[in-house]
Amino acid sequence: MTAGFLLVACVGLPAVAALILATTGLNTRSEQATTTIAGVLVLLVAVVVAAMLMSSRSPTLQAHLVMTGWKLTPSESAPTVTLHLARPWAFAPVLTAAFALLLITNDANRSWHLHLQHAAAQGSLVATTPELGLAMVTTSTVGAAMRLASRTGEDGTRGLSTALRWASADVLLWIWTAGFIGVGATVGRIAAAALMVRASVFPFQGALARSVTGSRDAGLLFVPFPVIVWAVRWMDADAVPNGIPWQLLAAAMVLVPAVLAWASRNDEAAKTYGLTSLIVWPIAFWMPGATAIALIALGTAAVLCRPSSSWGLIASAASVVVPTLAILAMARSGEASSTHLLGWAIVSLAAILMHQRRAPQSSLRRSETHDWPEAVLVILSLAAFLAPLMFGAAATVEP
Amino acid sequence: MTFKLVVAGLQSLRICTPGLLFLGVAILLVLLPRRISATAGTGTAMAASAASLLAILVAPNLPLPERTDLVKDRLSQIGPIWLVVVLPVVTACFQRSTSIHRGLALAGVHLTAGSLCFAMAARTPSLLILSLTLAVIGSMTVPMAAENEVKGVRLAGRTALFSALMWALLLVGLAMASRSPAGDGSIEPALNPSTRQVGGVLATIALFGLLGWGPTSCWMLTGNVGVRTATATLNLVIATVALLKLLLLIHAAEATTALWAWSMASALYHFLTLRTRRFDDFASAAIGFWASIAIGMLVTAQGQERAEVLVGAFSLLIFVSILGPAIGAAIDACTLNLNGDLGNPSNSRSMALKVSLFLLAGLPISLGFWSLKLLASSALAATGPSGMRQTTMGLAFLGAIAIGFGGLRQLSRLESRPPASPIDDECRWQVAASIASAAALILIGIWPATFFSVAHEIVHTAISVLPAGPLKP
Repeated sequence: MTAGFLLVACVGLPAVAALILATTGLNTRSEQATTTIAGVLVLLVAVVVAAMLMSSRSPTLQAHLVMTGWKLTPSESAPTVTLHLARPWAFAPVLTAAFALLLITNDANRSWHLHLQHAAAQGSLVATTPELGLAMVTTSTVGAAMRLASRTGEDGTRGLSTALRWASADVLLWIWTAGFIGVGATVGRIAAAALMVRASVFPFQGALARSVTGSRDAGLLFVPFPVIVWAVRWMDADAVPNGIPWQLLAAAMVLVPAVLAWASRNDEAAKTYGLTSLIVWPIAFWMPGATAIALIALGTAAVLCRPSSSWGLIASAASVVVPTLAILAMARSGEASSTHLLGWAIVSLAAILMHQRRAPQSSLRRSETHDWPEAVLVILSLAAFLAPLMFGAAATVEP
Repeated sequence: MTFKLVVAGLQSLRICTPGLLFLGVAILLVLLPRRISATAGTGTAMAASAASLLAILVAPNLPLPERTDLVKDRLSQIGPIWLVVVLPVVTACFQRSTSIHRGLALAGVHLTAGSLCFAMAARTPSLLILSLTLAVIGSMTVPMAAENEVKGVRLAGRTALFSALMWALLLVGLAMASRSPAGDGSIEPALNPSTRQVGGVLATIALFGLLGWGPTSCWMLTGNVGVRTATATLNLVIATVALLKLLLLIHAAEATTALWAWSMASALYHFLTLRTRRFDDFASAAIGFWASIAIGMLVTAQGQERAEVLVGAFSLLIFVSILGPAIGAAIDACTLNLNGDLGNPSNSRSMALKVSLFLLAGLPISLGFWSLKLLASSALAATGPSGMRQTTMGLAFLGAIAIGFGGLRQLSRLESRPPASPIDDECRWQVAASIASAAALILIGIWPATFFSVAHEIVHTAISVLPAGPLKP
């Protein structure tokens, strides 16, 4: 009962925060308080959920919500919404919440859009059915579309066309999930193409890379997240063709824009986006079952935002420490493999390298960066990198 | 004997207390000076709605006398609540009108609401036709609230002509559809079914025209957005009630394909009209699109899924009847001048506009979303004309995307417009009514089971109680 309530809270709290920010005209101070409190609360709830799951004998936490109020015809039974979190995913909500808190502290506009994206990301993690997961993807699309459309001029036009592509991809994924276009390898590849459009993989990237370069659109970093999670959880590996040319083409589509973004000068947000893509996509698509690593990579990339506020510092620390603990705990219980640890080590190393060659001025940063948080972050990153090596014995444990 | 009849009549009327209240307010407004302030007008409508709602909630459950023209069923008991929600927002649509005939238009709105209460409770065709005719007369007075300029006059003239034409067509159709079978053998028996079918089709076309079937309905796309939306909404409510009462009589299964094709043409017409750059025309096109989708599903209501399709289609019509004036009022509140140019809204006006557009795209969680979900699930069943239903719902999904992104495009254009003038009392009423209507739709969407349970009862009554044969006056 308690676990179920907490799972619902993970999704519901950011959704409520988004609703409050979208519908009320709060002043800046109240907005800041609301948004920070929501972020911290979700982080705390996610930590409790992770602790409960890791200490529980049961491999999963579940919440069944019988929606008697959603019964439309007398003959049908009441619909049930089931949320579910498996042990290998135990720390994913924590990481997501930490990443969200980091973005919140860097988002000067305190936009409702960021909280909505956070809710969709949490929902995609705990969805039990592909339909519910896809509903979260669509929620994320709707929020992003509304955000992109609020821009003026050429940015607005470009953003709207990007959002239209995402929505079209969503529709195709819904049709595929509902079984309207049948099953099979070809149909699966069509769905995979739609997935890449939705996740803004090159050449469908559109305005996303440009969007994240402004701090007010930091929430757009979350937009590909639900669909990546959905793909890893619900799509068959057969959707990706096995031939080497196809693999190379897919690799190019994923990596080229990431490399380009990473190589951009004096634009650290673009670098962040590029690094995130570089890490997340290969792991998500070429290492089946390593979703936890993808999540960790996303969180680690958040370190690169180098926040200046104390809450941001806590979030950054959490995004490094929590995954480390998660990997160690999973390795000890036999649920993590050497692949996981290797992936984590690569991610940590990349984070540190990126940290060292940072640009002089971050566009995600609101004020001057202090020296001591920088130092703490570097130490934490080093610790995160060294931890798997120190526990190398555990790295041999295979699931 | 006379005394007994009077008592029986009064007892009958007590089940139509909301209707009596609305009619009383209408008479009062006609007797009052013709010029009534906007705030007083909307206040009157809200007070009448509140009193009617109170009457519905606390009315004693009296048995009906043996001889009465009224019937007590779920439609007559619950239906007035729908009018209670629609009435204030329809009134708010012409809140900013400066016409001297605004009081008369307000009386017309109340006349329509009162007459519809009686139409919902009508047992005999004579009372039904009389009530519906009064309701149409009431809705025809609404365009008088338009400004005295070319477009306003054009709207008033076209509305009167359109309503009169549709009503004449309906009466002709009903007269043909309700012909008794010839018993003397002087007429070929085979002609009777044909006459009834033609009558049914004529009546259907008339009612669908009032529902917003294109392109006939687009003929009235002129003048102030608030006034024309109020008129269109009242016509839609009248046609929906008439359809519920006459469902079996005018249902022409033989003409299903032709009627469905026309509905799809109407939906496509509205779909293409969504490309407009004008915000008010965009909203009207979107409303017309959803009404066309509902009509397209209504004509395919056959086979095992008949009840579900009817419930879904009528729910969609109810959704449109509440959302249409809500978005009309929100747009009118942002209007800068008589040409309908919009200013960039902020705060509550921006919120009303955005929430209305959000609901217009059929997104969760609202009544529209659940209606579409029910229609989509019934379209998947391989019974009856499932191909037509699936095509209709496929178009509905495309339309939902087009409306969603069209709305975003319109909002994006608004960003470059000059700021809307400061909010005044008239705007405040309009925005409040718009937000309240949107909130009602969202509240139903949060807990739709109660609404759909009642809707099922009403539809089952409509398709089981009324005789399929000729009417007996």
